[in-house]
Amino acid sequence: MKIKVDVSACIAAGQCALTAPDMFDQRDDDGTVVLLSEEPAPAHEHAVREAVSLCPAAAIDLTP
Amino acid sequence: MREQDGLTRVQLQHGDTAWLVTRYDEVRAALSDPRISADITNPRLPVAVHGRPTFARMDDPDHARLRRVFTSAFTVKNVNLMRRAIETVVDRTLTAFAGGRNPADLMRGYALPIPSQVICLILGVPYEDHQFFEEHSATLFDQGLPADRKQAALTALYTYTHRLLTDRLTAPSPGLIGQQAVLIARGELDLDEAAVSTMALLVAGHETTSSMIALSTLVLLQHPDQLARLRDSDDPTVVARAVEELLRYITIAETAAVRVATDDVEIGGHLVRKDEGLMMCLPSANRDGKFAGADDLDLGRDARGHVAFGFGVHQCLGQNLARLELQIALPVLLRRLPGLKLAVPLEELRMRLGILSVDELPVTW
Ligand code: HEM
Ligand code: SF4
Repeated sequence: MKIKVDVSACIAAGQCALTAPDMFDQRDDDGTVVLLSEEPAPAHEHAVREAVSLCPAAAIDLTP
Repeated sequence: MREQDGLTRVQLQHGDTAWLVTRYDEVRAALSDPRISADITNPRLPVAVHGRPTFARMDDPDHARLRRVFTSAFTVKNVNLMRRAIETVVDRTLTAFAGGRNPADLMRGYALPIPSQVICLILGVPYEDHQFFEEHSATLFDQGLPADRKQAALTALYTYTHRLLTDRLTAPSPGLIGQQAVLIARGELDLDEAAVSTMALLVAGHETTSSMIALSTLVLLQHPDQLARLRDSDDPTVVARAVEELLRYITIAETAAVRVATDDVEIGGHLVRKDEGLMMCLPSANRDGKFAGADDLDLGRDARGHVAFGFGVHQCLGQNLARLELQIALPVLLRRLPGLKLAVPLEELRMRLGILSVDELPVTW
């Protein structure tokens, strides 16, 4: 599984950082998403999928 | 209504029609479609008052430009840094409430002072002015009041935040007002726009969360088994789950998300035509079949996908602050006042629609 984020679409709602804190953070200056690792360890895959479905701005993309 | 169809045409007070969007999938689809606009300068947007636009009622790129001024303050990380400050506010407020008259109004004594003090801290608004801004905010959100009263309240609040910003243009000052004053002085932010945004944050920052604290308490008193679950757990994930479920179950922002189509758009098998208004029925979407046994309060369920904070680019800016305030304020109240109960019959409470709330919540313990 590979994660991609679209920072220009991100509205800094923080759903990702709340759901999968090991994978996503938010930038200090404007709160937009920071991807901590492109390939989640199997233990984090579930949380990443949840973050994708919760993101209000469709800013997180997964490729198998 | 929701079972049959995700969209229904309804007649509005002044003769216009609009679409009521009632199902989860259709609400999420509408709120994330760029052809569905929140622009309040469009006369077809179904709202009571067409006042000065806040970024909540603008489209991108203006919405994004103005929202971005505040996003850093409301990230998960920065909100969590406020935990200690919020705990102090909660503790102080609860000590005063529990030591005061019994029975008492939980709204005025606990639910309202907490978010009011917290948003004052964040913005740098003097809490001494709380009666002024609380009264005018309540007017804005009360669906029972006429438009001219709301317009007057809006003007009073705008004048107030405009003055706060103006006063601080020259002297360094705390909070988001001070931060904006710096940007204004540098010519990077417009004073009038900043005053509107500050007003929006001040109002949305206390009115919504206070209603959630009061109504959560009320709902829990009606569900003693669920109340016990929250009271007796010191596991933060249990508390966090419970708060998400309360947000879903109560969904106070009944009529917050209103939109207008800027193009013909198909949603849920219906053709919404350009210039037609849409009103998201967030409470209905949150009771959709997507949540099993949706009409039951179940603090153990995973309710995270709810739309109580909206969806799409306008999803609530203050959501992580609201979550934290609720996670702190609710369990400690139930623990410190274990005998808490309503002091009047349920039927006597005056529910306020719009942003669902109660004027008063008389309790005894
Ligand atoms: C439990 C408490 C709260 C609830 C249920 C709530 C609900 C909502 C909803 C449903 C929206 C979306 C409106 C739309 O789509 O048109 C929204 C937007 C907003 N909320 Fe909240 N809110 C809460 C607390 C707060 C707090 C504490 C703040 C203070 C910072 C806040 C500030 C805002 C702002 C500024 C917007 C506009 C965001 C934008 O348009 O980009 N809210 N809120
Ligand atoms: S959930 Fe989506 S919009 Fe929110 S911070 Fe993460 S990527 Fe950005």
